[in-house]
Amino acid sequence: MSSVRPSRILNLPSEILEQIILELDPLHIASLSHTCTDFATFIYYDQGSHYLWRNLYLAQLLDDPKSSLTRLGFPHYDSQHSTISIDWMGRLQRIIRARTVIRNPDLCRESERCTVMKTLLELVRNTPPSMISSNSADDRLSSNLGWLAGTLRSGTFFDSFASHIATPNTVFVPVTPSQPSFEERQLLGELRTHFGLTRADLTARKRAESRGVVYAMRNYRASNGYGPYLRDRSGRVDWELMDRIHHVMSMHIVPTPGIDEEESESGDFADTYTIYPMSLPFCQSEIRSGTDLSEVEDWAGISGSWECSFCFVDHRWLILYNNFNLSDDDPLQTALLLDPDFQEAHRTIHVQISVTSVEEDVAHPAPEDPF
Amino acid sequence: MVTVVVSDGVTFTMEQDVAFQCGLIADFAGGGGDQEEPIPIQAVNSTVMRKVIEYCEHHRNDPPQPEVPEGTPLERKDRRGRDAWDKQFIQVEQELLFEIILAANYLNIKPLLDLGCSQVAEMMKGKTPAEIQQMFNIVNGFTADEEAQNGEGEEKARNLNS
Repeated sequence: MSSVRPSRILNLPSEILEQIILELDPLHIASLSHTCTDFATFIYYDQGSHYLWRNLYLAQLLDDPKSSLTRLGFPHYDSQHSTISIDWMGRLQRIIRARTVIRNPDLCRESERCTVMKTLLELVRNTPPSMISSNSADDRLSSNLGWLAGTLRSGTFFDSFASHIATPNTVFVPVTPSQPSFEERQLLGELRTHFGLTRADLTARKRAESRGVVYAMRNYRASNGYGPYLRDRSGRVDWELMDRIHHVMSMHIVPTPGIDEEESESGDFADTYTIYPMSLPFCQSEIRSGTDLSEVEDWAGISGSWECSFCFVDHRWLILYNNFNLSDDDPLQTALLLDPDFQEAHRTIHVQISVTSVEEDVAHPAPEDPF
Repeated sequence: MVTVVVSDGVTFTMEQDVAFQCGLIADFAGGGGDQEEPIPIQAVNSTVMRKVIEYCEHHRNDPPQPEVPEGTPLERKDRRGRDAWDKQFIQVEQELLFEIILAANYLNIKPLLDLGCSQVAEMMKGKTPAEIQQMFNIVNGFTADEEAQNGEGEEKARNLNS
């Protein structure tokens, strides 16, 4: 190219420029925006840049926030009744940053851990419902969940990033550069609970660690209603505890490839894309297509046949284990749970649920929108 | 047969199924039947028109492109006829590439426009700002003030990826 000739690319009509940009990954677009003022303006400051970022967001393998429902069945963005417009650029940039951190957890700055996890959780919590109909072609697995499952599964996020934020509540305290905050541990717990089993979860050591938390009586007090709630009487879920319960239950319910009692980690699990029970694809409401969500009570499709599972240990083991852990604050002694004679029972009962009415549960408030 | 005359006075005669892949010509020639007068295409020269016709001839037997709703993720779009031939076809000098894009836009040949835009995007992928500047001959017109602002932006970009 001659160096005196003006750049052809900048003289393209803006709709063509937009089409080119829409083919780029947001990371490449950031590079492009630093080549000259014209591109910077076009990408960030022009009147049309709001639409550019909207189209860019929708070009990703993510759900349209406008078709998504919150966990309480309300539209994530109510375009008719809300004056808040979607910050497409901010939203997408947060997601891209989270993706970078997932791919390389070492890049994660301590100050951004919470933002990264909140960004991922926002994608989990807000998805379009899956429509069930006689014509199965209408089924729609949430793009957000597919994106998350693919992105998290291929990365080392949970095994590496999460090891920085491991619970300091057990004998296996890792040496960490800084202790994770309460908020970080809660966010990680919520994220892990939704994600499902990771490869590290399959080891006997990790399983004993989770059982140790689940069967420690000190974690169930009047202040948390003897349930998996925070001890501040807020009625909010204690996601750290929930994650441990989820782990213990999943080990019975998810078909794991027989690595149960071994320290070695399985190579097969989580490498191939399989939809396991109690994992991300199940974080989506299922409703019959054609349902008017503003009219039906059962907006999440709860009615139907369910399997209700529970685990328990022999009382002698339970008391013995808790005798080792009488203090409220010392790390849990879980060596006993690795004893070959330790037994945990698992039972499932079939229940038929029908929704007759729905009311707000003020005693157990839903998580707030993070952004 | 359809005849067109381009900006440098050259005339091209094509069969209808080749010519009608250009939305503009299809609209112009309307109800079909042989045209008496050549259709003037002032915005395109003969070099570019030759490439365009080459493309249309290769794709003359393609099934019609289905309508893709706006906002469909790129990965899910049906990239019709995007084969080895297309990749080879669009490997042209940059000057000609932009001419082809503009011609495809003007003549309303959507798949060719898409192909050209994809090629430009492909050239940008994974490049640093300096490499993109060099490749597309972009003069860095940032003033000192803007440079400072750009520094912030660059910080932003770095934040996304480091």
